Amino acid sequence: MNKLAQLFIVLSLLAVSNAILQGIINVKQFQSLLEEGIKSKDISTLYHSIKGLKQLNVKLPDLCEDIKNSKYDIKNIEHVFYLTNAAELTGCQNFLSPEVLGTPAKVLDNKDVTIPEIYYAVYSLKAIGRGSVYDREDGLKNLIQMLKKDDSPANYGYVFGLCEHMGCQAWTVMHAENALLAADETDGRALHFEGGLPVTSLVLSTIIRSFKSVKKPSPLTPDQKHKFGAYLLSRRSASAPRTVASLIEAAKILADDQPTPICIVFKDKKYITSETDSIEFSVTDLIGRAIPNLKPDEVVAQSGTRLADDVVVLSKQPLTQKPNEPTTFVLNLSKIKSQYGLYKISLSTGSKSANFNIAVLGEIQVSSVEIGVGDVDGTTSPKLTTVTYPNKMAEVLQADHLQKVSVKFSIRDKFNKPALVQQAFLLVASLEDEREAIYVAEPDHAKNYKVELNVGAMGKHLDYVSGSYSVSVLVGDSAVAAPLSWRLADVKLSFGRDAIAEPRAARVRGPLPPISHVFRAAEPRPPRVVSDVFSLACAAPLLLLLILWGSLRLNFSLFPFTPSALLFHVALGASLSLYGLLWLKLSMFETLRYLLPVAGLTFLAGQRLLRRLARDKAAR
Amino acid sequence: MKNLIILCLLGYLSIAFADKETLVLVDNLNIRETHSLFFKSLQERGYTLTFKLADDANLVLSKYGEYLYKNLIVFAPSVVEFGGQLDTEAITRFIDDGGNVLMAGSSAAGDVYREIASECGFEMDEESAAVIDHFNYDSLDEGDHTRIVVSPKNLIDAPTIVGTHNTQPLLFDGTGLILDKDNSLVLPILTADSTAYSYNPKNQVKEYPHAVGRKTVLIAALQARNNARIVFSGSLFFFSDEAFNSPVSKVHGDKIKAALSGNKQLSIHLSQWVFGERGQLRVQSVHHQRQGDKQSSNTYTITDTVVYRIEIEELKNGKWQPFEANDVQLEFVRIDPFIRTTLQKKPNGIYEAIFKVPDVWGVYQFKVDYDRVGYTRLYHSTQVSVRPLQHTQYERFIPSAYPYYVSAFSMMIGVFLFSFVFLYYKEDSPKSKAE
Amino acid sequence: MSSLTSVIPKLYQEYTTKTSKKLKIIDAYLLYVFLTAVIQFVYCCLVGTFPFNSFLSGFISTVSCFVLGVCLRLQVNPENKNEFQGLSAERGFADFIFAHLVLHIVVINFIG
Repeated sequence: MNKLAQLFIVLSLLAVSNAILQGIINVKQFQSLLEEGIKSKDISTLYHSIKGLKQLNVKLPDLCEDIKNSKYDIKNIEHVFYLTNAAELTGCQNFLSPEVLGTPAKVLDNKDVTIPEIYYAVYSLKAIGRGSVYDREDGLKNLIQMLKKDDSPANYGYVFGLCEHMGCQAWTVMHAENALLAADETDGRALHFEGGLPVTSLVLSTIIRSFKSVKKPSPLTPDQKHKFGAYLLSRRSASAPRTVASLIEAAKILADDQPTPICIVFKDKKYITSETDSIEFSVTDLIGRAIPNLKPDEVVAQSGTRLADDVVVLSKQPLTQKPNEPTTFVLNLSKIKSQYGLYKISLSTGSKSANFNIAVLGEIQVSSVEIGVGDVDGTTSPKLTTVTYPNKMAEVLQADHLQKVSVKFSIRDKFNKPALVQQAFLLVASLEDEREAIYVAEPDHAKNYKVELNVGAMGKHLDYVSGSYSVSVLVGDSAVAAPLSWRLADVKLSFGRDAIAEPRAARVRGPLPPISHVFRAAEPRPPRVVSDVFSLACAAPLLLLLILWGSLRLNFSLFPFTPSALLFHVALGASLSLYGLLWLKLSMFETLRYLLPVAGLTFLAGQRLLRRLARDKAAR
Repeated sequence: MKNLIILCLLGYLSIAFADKETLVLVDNLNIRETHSLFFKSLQERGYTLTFKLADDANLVLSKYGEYLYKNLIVFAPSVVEFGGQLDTEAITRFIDDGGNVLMAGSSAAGDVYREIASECGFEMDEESAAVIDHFNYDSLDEGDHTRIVVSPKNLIDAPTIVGTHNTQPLLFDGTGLILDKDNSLVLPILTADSTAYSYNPKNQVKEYPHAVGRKTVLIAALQARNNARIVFSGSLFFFSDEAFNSPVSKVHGDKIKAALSGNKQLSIHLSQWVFGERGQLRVQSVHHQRQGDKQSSNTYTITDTVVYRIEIEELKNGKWQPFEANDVQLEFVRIDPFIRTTLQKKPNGIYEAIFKVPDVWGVYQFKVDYDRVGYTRLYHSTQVSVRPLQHTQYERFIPSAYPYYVSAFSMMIGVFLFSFVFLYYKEDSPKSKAE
Repeated sequence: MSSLTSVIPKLYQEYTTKTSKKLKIIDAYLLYVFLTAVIQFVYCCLVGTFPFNSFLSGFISTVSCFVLGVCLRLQVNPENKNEFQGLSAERGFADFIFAHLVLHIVVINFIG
């Protein structure tokens, strides 16, 4: 596996070394973004926007007041650098207060100064026309010492930049190659320096400018240029003024460095249809300018193969340069116009080449469509009805879980030849809700597509919900000019006894139905009158008792007028009254507390009374 | 004691701090720049992003048993094997321990992605398969119809996760997922249209595609039972600066056009959700009492009227604020729920229910189990006992019992009178008795 | 049938003449208790057992009173003198009162 991966990387490296960039950086597209940036109050944004617009040669409005009033920290050397250089770019140096000079001088005096700080300080002073200690020879020695401590690509870039100022480009020339080797590679396709676009831009531009100034050819190999170009292309979507300014600077400097990396892009369409039989390519440098010294006949389509079956359809076909448009080259593809599909075209300029995928788009139609319902076990063959595009079958089909729906159709191109497409699906979608099931139609040898939908098996996908469904044919392919979606019939499906809608998810989320507790119903109670009548009725026997006793002609002749007799009855009555109180309000414990003495009294008095009565009886 | 408080405080601080610690695994550091807008939005919201190559040999998620990061972003589709101590198992453990993961793949994503996806309940299509939609592709498509335009209507109906203002069409280029139907914790955030399918764009469709139609999930999410969140996108492109800044124009169908895709907005929303800035709920306080009482009680008598209040807070912009909803339910449960009622919203995130305790005694629980899509699961239960009426609490002096009362007292009067009559009666004719 | 009609007056006459007044007092008391019990029972059958504890205590109260009354009557009846050797009517009455005191407190406690 690992070896394979390595092999792959090596192969891709080889491929890349002669490659053409497939994209350009349209620097103009950043103009509006940068024009928005110069309205910023932030000095960094403002400076980078100005710098970017300068690169684009856009005429700047008067920004002196804006620069003066922007937000910056005078103690921060980076801010001072932005401020002074923005002023220099706009010719507003006079608007700056002399105080800004203090910070760079202080920075340069500092023992623990870093390389970026020196860079900022020196260029700040330069911007307002002052010299510095770093104008002299020994400055470089100092810098080399510092580089030994921290040799990051950014620091190299700053030193190269300082050298441009100090006139030590010769040193840059000596060390450029090593610095370039420090670039990081991504996927073997792109090169960039640690620190992203700003650092990459700084290192590239300082190196290329330095080499130019000493009249030496650029140290970048074509491969490096290509990979740096690829990196810049991958950053086309940059949107911060700082990265945009860096991107523009790097793209311009790279494009200007001859021989420039060649970029080829589709000018407009990347497909041909029956109407257009040629594809236009733009052959330019990185920022979309014509390539100097490019001979028109160098641009050749080396080969063209169909992706589906690797059949070679063209080889060594030169492209024609469009008159009056030096960057536009036309590839005539009328030969393969009728053969729909995706093709790989290998374009080359000189020794470099790149592969482009193009599509030959065709129009398709669905024809000989037949649909019918038959039994699953094959006892009855389906009765097929022919439907023509784009009509819908008038009759609504009926099918149950023991039947199947058969659909046959063929796809034909413009010349009525059967064609194969990537997507030939049958969509069964519910007319009532969101349910859908999709089936793949398979072609036979004669390129006729056929689907058989077993209704019983479909139930699983449609949650066994019987009802009305639409049947549509979906036809699409990368090489089809317009995909086709045709609702050809409606069908009423019934899934028989399995037609119980299964709950979709085991756990329901969302509010649950409320539950309320059913309280036990109150016992039926009789009307008040009834209970009152019965209360009286219950009291009545007491009256009866009194009457009966009365009729017996009672006497109390045995009553002994003794305290014990009275006490006994009073105590007994008290006990019983206490029970009445217990019923009304007392608790059992209270009652017992009162009852104890009363009951004791009853007992004692009762004993005395009864003994006396017994004695009396015995005496009689 | 003081030390303990300081320790707790430190612990709390370190947790709060660690909440924003994010490890970003990338294929190459260039992704940091091609996806700079997305990362910038995270940094602006206070996240500390630590970028590492996915195959960096020194990758660690935890040190001495403590996680160094709360969040993990994996933007490394071409990784064959993670470096260092990181592997599928480590990431699964990270999720089990409450870590949040945002993962974006592409059609080139390898088996590591597939393994992690299936651990989370998603199934990712084979390598080199991509979601193709011949009906809904963007005009900037490379020819395979894989740069598809997805309507925001296909988003899940969960404003907490996707936000409320998704009106712009979305650009997607990547592989398709399908979700485990039985796993109710996984959510299809964004699904494809009926015309889409996931297949290798270079091949004829010979087998039934991995995902077809609306079952094709483009972005899926999972909120685990421990409230760890995972967003899994089939497309890394979805989060790129290019997708954020790209205009949209559909070639066929309704030919939707938009100056700018909705990717940025949705991506930011998704990141807010996945890293727990949204949809976090907590119970601030719970109070229950007998209506009219001042004090809380944990014993109720049957048919008491109970007032239950719960204060719920939601994390909004980094602060706990009152939670607003009208579907918070309370259950009063003794094995089965006896009562389930929707709590009334009161000011300041307080929800209240007043109900009558069932006339069945036993040990009950007040249970609030708020589980809504996009929110952390809120679960709170308090146990109380419900006892029968006390001896003195039964209804008394019932009119229909008056005959019985009268009888009972009649009996008492009867015996009182009887004591007189019986004791002091003297036989009239003792002689006749003697006879 | 005719024998029954002839028997009842005879029995009644026998009772009025042969039974001592003291026993008649007790019998009147028993009749009163019995009637109260019957009325309660009829009421309960009519309207249902709803305050069941009340019904139970009310009814048991009467039944117990009846039983106690019967016991007292047995002890007081001179015909049973041999059976209650050494137990005087006064002693019987004391037990009767004591039982009532216990009975009623229970009844009241339970009647609600």
